[in-house]
Amino acid sequence: MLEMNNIEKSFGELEVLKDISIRVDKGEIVSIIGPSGSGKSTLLRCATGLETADSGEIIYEDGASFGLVFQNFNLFPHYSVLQNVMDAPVKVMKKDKAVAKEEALKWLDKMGLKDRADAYPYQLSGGQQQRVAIARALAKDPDILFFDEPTSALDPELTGEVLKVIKSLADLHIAMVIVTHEMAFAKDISDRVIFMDKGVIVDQGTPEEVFGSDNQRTKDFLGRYNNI
Amino acid sequence: MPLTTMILKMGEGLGNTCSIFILTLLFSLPLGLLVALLRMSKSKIISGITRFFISILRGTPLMLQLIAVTYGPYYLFGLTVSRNKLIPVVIAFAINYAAYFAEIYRGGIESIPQGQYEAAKVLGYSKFQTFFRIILPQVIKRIMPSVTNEIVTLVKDTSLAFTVSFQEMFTIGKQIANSQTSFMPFLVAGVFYYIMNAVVDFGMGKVENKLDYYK
Ligand SMILES: Nc1ncnc2c1ncn2[C@@H]1O[C@H](COP(=O)(O)OP(=O)(O)OP(=O)(O)O)[C@@H](O)[C@H]1O
Ligand SMILES: [Mg+2]
Repeated sequence: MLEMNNIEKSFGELEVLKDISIRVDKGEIVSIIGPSGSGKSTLLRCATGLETADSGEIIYEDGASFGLVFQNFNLFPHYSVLQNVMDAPVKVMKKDKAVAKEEALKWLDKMGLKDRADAYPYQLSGGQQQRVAIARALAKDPDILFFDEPTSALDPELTGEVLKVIKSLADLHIAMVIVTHEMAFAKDISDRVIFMDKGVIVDQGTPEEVFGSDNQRTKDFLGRYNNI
Repeated sequence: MPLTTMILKMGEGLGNTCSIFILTLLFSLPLGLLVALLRMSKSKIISGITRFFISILRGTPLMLQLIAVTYGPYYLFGLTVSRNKLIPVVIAFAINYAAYFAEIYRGGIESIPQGQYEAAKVLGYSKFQTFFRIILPQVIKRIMPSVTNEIVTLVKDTSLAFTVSFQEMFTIGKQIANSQTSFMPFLVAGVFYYIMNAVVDFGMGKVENKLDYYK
């Protein structure tokens, strides 16, 4: 459904992505892991049009649409929770307001936040804000949803609730590409795991394959997470 | 001259004082936004030229600008000075205040985190929607205190119109002061400005409260 072929991206002298190719199938859940600075965010930013790749091609087959969940939520502070979720469907997708509202409440309910629909972002915990951000992305009916470290900005006791709702999306058959440092989560949820280091894909496969890989760089990286 | 007569006479000029005040705000607030956008243009030429004009407007006295706009056309092109000086006075004020507002808008716009633009872009908002639906409302809230400051200054600055003998409250007060050799008109003027600014403070406080529903 998404194909990224031979993506290259440099910032000045720094080559951040070196000939990266990825495909994501319908409903597939892909985790991207790798050390800081390996280019994971840049890859998602290229896929979502926030950066322009220097070369290579990005193809969304059959007009597939995407959403992106940011590390630090980026909710609109002047909009209530409900407005955050339904504004784009109404103003961008030109959905009927009543329909958009009903759908927004459905997504908020799925995120366990229906009773906070009238709250403003500043009144919510980080975990709640991130769940609103996920509802906001889902309200645009994406075929593929990207997450860039969705729990990294959260206190440890709040990561669980966010990982749980992400997991609950698995049965919606929306493809998900998740950049994460939560190894247990990646192992648990993914159909496929991609290990990136220094702008290249070093290793990829099923969670079993990657987490049991013989590749020395993969082993060294995973060795730093001893709680899998 | 009895105090009440003095107050009434000066009060006649209040209409003109308020005209300067309201018309200046009406034109300079939107114009300032436009100037701020030009100032932030990606084109070095446009932003450079805008920056130059802003620096002239902020770096020279408003009094001088009032004289230039009112009498400039006469000295430069031999045009007659219009009898209704409200027009040149408001033009000078609006341009001058637009320059100040532009810098306030620019500071506000630049203070909005990049993530807001990125979230809007990924959600599919157009550039226009992003600016007017997402960015500007947040900017307005952030710049409110600075805008209030400028508005308070504007109330007092209206008195500068005396330099081109525009018949607003202060000009009349000054004429009375000269003819009666009395200091009283200045005191009266001070009270008038103080009351107007109390109203401005009250009104702007209300607006700020209204925007207090989020952080
Ligand atoms: N806009 C930019 N300008 C210059 N350099 C950048 C820019 N964005 C990213 N980089 C650099 O590119 C490299 C890869 O960054 P990226 O954010 O993609 O890494 P990452 O894998 O997401 O790391 P992390 O796990 O810390 O989020 C880093 O060295 C970073 O400093
Ligand atoms: Mg990153």
